[in-house]
Amino acid sequence: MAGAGGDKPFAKAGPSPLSRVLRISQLDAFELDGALEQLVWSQFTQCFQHFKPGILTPVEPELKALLQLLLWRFTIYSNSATVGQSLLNIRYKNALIPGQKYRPMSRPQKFWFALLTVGEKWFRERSHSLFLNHPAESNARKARKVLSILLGLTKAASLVNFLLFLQRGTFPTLTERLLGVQPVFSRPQGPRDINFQYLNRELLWHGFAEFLIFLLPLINVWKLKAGVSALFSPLSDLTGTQSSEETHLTECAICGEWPTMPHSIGCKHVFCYYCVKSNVIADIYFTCPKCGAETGQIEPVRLQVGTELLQS
Amino acid sequence: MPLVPANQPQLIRSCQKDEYYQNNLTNNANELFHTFAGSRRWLQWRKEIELLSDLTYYILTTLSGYQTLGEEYVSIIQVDPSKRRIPSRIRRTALICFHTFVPYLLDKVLICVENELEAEAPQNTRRTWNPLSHMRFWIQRAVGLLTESQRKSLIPLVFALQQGITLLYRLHVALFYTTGAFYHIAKRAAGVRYLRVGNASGDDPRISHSYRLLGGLSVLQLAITLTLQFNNLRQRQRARHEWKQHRNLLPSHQVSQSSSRTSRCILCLEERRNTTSTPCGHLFCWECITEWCNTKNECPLCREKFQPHRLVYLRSYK
Repeated sequence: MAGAGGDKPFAKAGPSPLSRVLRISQLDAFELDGALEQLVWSQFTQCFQHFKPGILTPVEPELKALLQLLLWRFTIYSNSATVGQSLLNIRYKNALIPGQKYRPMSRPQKFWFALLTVGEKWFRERSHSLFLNHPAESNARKARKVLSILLGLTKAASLVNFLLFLQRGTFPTLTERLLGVQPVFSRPQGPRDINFQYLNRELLWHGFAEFLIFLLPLINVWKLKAGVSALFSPLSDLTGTQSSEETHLTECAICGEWPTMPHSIGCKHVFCYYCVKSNVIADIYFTCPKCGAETGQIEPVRLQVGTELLQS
Repeated sequence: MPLVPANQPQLIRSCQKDEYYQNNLTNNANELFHTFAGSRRWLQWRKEIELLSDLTYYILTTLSGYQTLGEEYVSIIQVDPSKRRIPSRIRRTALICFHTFVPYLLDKVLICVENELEAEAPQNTRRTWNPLSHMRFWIQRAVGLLTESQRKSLIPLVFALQQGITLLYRLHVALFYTTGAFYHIAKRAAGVRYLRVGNASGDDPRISHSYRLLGGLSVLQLAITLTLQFNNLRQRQRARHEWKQHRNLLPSHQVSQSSSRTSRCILCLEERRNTTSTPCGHLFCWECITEWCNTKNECPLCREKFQPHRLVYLRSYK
């Protein structure tokens, strides 16, 4: 781990404020800058939310570039540090001049920085619609092809620069490498103290919520209904036995209507064939919702007609 | 400044940061390849590009003796099982292989075996310079030696193996929540642990207790999932058995072939089987009309709405 030219695992807390900056801090600064740009743009568009829809679309790249230039004016041009870098105790140093003493960015470096960051974003957004107006001309087609090749080469160079950054820890972007500006600490860096309360709370609640979402569909609603209805079953016993038996034979225990193709599952209740078959297929442990009896063989209901004839 | 073992939040946050920047690297490599090589070739080599990006990331950080970005973020360092030394180069190489190559090769092998087992006729693949082609050739030869019954019995085995790998990952995460070591299986296999730079007073007993509870909850969820899968398997076998018994009754119906035109089902356009009447009086096969009612509770002919349990199976109707 003790690489000679590599990034040291412990940030030195000595008197020298120019100790090496962590790679993750430099990358986090870019994340913060991106979030700030989005915040500024969303606040700006909210000023026009009651206007006609799409009023800003024709000049959106120019407006974004203007807002970024304003940000550049009050951050890099004044303090040699972006907002994200200021939050993380980082600022740019002129790496073209050797020596341990801190030197801010020179004026040409600042202007080139604005051109290579704000101008590059504007050009990338504008170039998408730049060649749509001339589809037939061959000159525009050649220019578009050359532009695509240049963009590809730029991406390749950025990728190689990032891989070098993983090893060296300096110059995270191509712009900084070309201009010769290097992030350094503004003040002596103490030991990092990261709080994980939010992460712990989020992870634990996410685990519990996932478990609940997983478990709730497994609860058998029919059994719950049967249990709740069983609590009130003594009330139904107040009626006569004969009337309750007639109710059992004239109502399906599932849909509550006249039973179509009446079948029974071993208890005294009657079911439609479709109702009981679909429930048994859906739930292997289906029980009678009226009395909770286990499902046996599904057989058609047969009535004793001879007894009625003898009685009459 | 003391070195204490890293606990669950540090390891999880470190892995999240690493995944984020690995995804960024993979996306940039994908865009680059897509720009220069085109869409069709990019789709063909997408998995290999991802593997190459991950390998590059870990070679430039772990193998070269530097921290990864996630480890740097939470100030943790890798140590070997003795907790006193940096892992050796061989151990770090093993860690990278277990983390990147083994899942890739396992995925490739399982897909090749599954394709060969499900193919009816053995396909003749040319042996080219590609090592994957060699692997496919050897798998073809191995599958060719099996008989038809052995091949059919191996297909659910491959599926069970794939499910087993997923369950193994979930079980390992639950174990990590309980014990607090080895977030990745690759790190457990290579024996790489982590130490944390910082004050030990920040540890809270309630945190480890909560994570242990989370681990128990994960194990419980895993057990319930396994139980449900076994129940579904048994239920499916029973349904298949009942369906076979049901199909044995069909030949008796075919004996009495009435050539009447009125006994044709309007849904399947064949002779009606198990004649069923809707409340409006139209006749269909039982299977056809119940399948129809799964999507629409109305008569296919006159569109009268009814509930599925109102269908009447006419037992003695021919």
